[in-house]
Amino acid sequence: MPGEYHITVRVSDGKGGNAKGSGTVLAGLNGLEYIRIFPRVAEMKPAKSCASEPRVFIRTAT
Amino acid sequence: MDLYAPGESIYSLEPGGGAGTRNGTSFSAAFNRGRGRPAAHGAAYNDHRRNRDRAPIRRRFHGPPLPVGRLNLEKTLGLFVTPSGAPVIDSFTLSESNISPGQTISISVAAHDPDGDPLTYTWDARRRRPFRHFGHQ
Repeated sequence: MPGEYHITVRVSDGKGGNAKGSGTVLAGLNGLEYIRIFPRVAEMKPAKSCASEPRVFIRTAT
Repeated sequence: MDLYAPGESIYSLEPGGGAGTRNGTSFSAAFNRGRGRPAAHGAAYNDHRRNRDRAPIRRRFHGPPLPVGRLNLEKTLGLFVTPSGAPVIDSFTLSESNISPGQTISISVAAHDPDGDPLTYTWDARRRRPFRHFGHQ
């Protein structure tokens, strides 16, 4: 459904530590039926010297 | 924080039956197990429990008199007492801020954990409000 979508990611270390990030996507064309985000959950073990960058995709369908 | 508990000649059951005495910090740990939890949670335990914990150990156990050893609670329960560092999100990036029907956009996040722990990323997309200027209610 057209509108403003709030995208959030919750990063957890499994020991009670969490962080949240968010952004906004505008889906503004008529005919949009749904918005999908995948993968919804991902696990990654970061190297100590560099940050991990998991990537997800949003796809819409008419 | 240091707690004290018996570490020598601890009267206990023996493998195969019977009873005897054992030494070591593993036996001291059992005495302090009930103390470490309230200590780690601060002052959230009541007077009854506080008074009970202050009672001399030898009054609460049967058996021969217990020599008292020393156990470092911080080292013993290090993981429990010291909270791990929370993950840190360094950046959150959208490849596009607008999405059209049939289009795919990518979102990436850069995060790190001070302790090097494995991180779990859970994503969600929720509609905040409709676009009224497109004619939708």
